[in-house]
Amino acid sequence: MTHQIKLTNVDLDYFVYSLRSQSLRSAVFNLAVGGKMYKAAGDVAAVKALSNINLEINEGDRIALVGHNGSGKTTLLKVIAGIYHPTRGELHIDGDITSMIAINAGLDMEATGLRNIHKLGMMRRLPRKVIDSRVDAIAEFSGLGDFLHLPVRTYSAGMLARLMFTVATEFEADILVLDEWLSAGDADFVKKAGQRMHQMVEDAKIVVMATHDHDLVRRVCNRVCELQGGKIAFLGSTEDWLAFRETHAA
Amino acid sequence: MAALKDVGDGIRLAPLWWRLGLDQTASRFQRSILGPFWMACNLLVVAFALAFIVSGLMGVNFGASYPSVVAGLLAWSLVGTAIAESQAIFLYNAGLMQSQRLPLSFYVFLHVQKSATNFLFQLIAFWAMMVILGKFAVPHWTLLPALALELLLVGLLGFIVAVPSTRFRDVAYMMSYVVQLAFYVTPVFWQRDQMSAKHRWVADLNPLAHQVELLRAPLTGHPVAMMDWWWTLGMTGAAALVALILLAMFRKRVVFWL
Repeated sequence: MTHQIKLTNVDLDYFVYSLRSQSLRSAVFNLAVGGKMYKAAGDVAAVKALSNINLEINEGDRIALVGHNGSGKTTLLKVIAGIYHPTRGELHIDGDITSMIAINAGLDMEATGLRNIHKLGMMRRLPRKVIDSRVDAIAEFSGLGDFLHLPVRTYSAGMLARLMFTVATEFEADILVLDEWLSAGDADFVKKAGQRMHQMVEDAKIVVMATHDHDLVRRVCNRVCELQGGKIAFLGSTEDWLAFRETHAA
Repeated sequence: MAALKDVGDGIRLAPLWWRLGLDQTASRFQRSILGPFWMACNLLVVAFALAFIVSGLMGVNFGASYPSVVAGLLAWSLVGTAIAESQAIFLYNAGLMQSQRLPLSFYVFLHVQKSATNFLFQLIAFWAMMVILGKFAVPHWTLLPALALELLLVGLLGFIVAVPSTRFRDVAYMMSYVVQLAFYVTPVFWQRDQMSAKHRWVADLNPLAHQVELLRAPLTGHPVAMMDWWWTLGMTGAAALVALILLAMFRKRVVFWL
């Protein structure tokens, strides 16, 4: 089975609800005044987070999503991960997705690292035996060792990144979706993580990663998609993107 | 159609919400020794206080009213408390909803699982107490279908409450007051025939009263009145319709409201 992600003309309107609009009173007011007064004040802001995204990601691709803060990287990741449904357009996915978008997603901060490994494995519907058999490998690769016996709330951001990345990649997945938190790890770990991602691609898998770290892009990814204001500004190989950066930076 | 698929996907994920429900219950009572039995203790103590007051006010025998009050409160944990708690179905799992693709119905099943677990612990405490007091009654077999129907209703009503609670945070706060109000006008700690004939409609036309009775009767060893079945089945049908419409309309929106 070949794995593929295909987005066709995808738009995503993001509705931002201000505090006021989340209260019932303003909805009642809306009814009373014919829905003009408060709406005119702009309590629900529709943000066009993504517009007309056409993207095909094939087996063996390690694609980096780059762009300024607020350019739509995380939103696009969430669309790919199936968390946000496109407002318009089509999304087609072949393969099992593992997404690690928020660094503490699915973690129980009070529980130990070990218990959280079980929990994350459980969320991916893995049998207990499979999880048990990988715990040692996770402890070793993440370099957390005995720290796995401490509650996760005592971890630093880098330690969390180590734990999350290791768990995300230790259990097989066809498609791995990562947000930029990976760079929270130290240089040593980022290097190790890069090697592991290369390994994953040799097993013909897809990695989609949002990042600001151009160095990481160069080392790990073979394709780049640059977003600007919710639109694709550049899509091509890493070499072409570096050239594109050169010309645009100058 | 897509709404039904959402429910189907949710059912297929049963092993996951089963495990996650147990896990969330366990972590809720982390570091406590009695754990979920705290809820059960709460049930027994509150029932004791209410039965004491009611027997004093109404001049009925405490020993006779206690089992009925405990059974009523036990039923209320599914009929009322589970609905009040359902405002948090999506809010509690916001982190999960924003990081993993799961059908919306998954979170509803998760809530039903947690409510059922909680009910089970209270049920054990109820039976233990009844044995100690020498008032244990063998439950009527209709307890099983009644429980199944009530759990279905917990899911349906829970979803109907959870959707507006996520969109309008006031609804979330309002629910605890609404349920508290409903608690007083429902014959949970008092009995229908203790009410004056003029005010008896409060119990007769109250769907919650019939839902409570649907569980209380078999718990105390009596068969369920046909009337209670009809009311609860009617509620389930109506709730299923509303829940399906809400699911079809807002399935894709809920995640943006978190």
